[in-house]
Amino acid sequence: MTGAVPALSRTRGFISRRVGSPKPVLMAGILMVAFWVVIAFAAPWIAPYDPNVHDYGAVLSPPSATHWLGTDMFGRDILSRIIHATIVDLQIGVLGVVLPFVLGTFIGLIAGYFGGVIDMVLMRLLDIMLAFPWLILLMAIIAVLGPGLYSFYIAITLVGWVSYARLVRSQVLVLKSSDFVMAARALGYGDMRIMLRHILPNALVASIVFSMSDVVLVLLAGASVSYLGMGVQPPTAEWGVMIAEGQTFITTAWWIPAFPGVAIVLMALGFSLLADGLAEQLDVDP
Amino acid sequence: MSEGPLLDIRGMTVSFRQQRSLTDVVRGAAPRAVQAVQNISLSLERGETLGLVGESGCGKTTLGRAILRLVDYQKGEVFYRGAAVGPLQGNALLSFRRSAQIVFQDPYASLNPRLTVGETLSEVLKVHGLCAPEQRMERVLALLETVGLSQDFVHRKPRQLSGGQCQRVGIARALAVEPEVIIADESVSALDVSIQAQILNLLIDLKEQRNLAMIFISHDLSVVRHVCASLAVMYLGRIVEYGPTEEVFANPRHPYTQALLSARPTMDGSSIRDGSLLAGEPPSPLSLPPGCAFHPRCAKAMSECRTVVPERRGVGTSHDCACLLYP
Repeated sequence: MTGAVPALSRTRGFISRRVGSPKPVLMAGILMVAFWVVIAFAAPWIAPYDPNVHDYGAVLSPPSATHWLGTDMFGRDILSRIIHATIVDLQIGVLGVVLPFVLGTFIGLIAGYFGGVIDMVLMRLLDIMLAFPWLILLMAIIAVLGPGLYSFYIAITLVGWVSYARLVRSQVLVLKSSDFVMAARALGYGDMRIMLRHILPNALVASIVFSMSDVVLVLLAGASVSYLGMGVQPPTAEWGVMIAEGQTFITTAWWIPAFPGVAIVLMALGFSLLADGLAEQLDVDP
Repeated sequence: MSEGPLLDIRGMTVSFRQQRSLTDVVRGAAPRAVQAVQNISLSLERGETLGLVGESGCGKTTLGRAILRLVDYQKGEVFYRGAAVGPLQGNALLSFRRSAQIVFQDPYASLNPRLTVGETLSEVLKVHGLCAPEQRMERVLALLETVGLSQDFVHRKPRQLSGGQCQRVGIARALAVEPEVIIADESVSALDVSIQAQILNLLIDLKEQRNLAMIFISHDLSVVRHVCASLAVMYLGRIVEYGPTEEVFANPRHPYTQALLSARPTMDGSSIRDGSLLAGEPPSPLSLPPGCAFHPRCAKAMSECRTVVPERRGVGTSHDCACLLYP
């Protein structure tokens, strides 16, 4: 391993030499995602108002110089609420992908590497999961666990691992019979070493690219679930909750649901661009 | 050290079962199996170089991998220094892994693309505990020098190397455990001709310096003649002729060997073609012809070739041939 022999570790400039300079699409994706990350962490300092303070003198006021994106039915500043909700939605998008990613990768690796009965059982389980519409399944699991963000994370993990397991398994099947894995077996390396050091790092590229576009789906699922009252609970600001609350006012105060909707689209777009950019970058350079 | 050959392969048989389709299962058809290697016996002395030649799909690679226990075999056994390799477990198996190594055909595919050359080589030393951690770097550099690569290569990834350089790293990795046997599986056929010569010379030098036994798998007869002292010709999973290389080249007995030799291109464009050129493709290993597997393509086939499977018989000094022409 690199730790034991420092001189063997990677040289400087390794990343840039290997991957090359980022393409415009990837650059745009990185910038947009970075924008949301900055907003999320700087929220307390950049939000003009407290997101949860009711101002009954300014109820349902349209976008203006004092309230750039208007106020809702309690007089809360929409812009401030969107800014404060960013960290919640970013967390939903990231955790809602990382957890299924980890579980799915683990299952796909085990199934692909060991094959046989283990593979058969896991893949039939996967087929059963695929047979259900995933959003319905997601909501059913949350309904059983009770509403809230933790239920959402558990449910999305139980539903979302399927895609990652399939992607990783197919890669593992190919890599398992490659010459360098054969060489590792000829050298007597253990299964754990072969799986974790020789197969897994080479099997992850497709999953990483997919995970970026999965963020979009999870973000929308999170918003949908919150919209239905099964995710983030009011008064916590969350884009889906804000849309849900504002929908009754859509004809009189369009700004309440519209701007959180725009925020969702812009965050989703950022991750989509990141996904496309990564795919482009890593495909030529796997 | 026990008497007898270093590596002794007895009655090796490898078959791969085909997945039965649903209709086969319903009809109750027996599962079909590809007979990749059939009842092969070979032995290898210390320092000996054995060439294994034959067409694509004749089972050369499978035989090489089965010897190293990288593929399961159904019958037969490999004996290393008189001890059976099949039942080895744990440390005993690891010790066998240190004795016998393989060099692959595709130089790029044989290296993990994520690891630097240094990481690939030091991993071998680490897993086998071959030297103290602080000496690993030194050993890695020494290995690189052995295969003719400079120290600069330590930090490079396979993508930054040429095919020949990758192959040198693959050889260094095999040498890291200081094996006694190396199986070179088409190790030069994916390289440019000029690089082929370099890698071949490297293998020959290493073999002489370290008194390595080598099984050299190839379809290139001129390469085999250059490198190997003895030669085994395979056809559809069986050895049809075996003998000292020069003897086999000068006096090929099996019609298949004769056809292979006459198909060699020559420098002046003329060839020793005498009508024994092979026609057609080898039959599918899923349904081998009865009798001698070569009879449908053999110019000298007789009626009993269709029914009798020929055994290997001596046709000269340590020269065997499996053909009914030589009873």
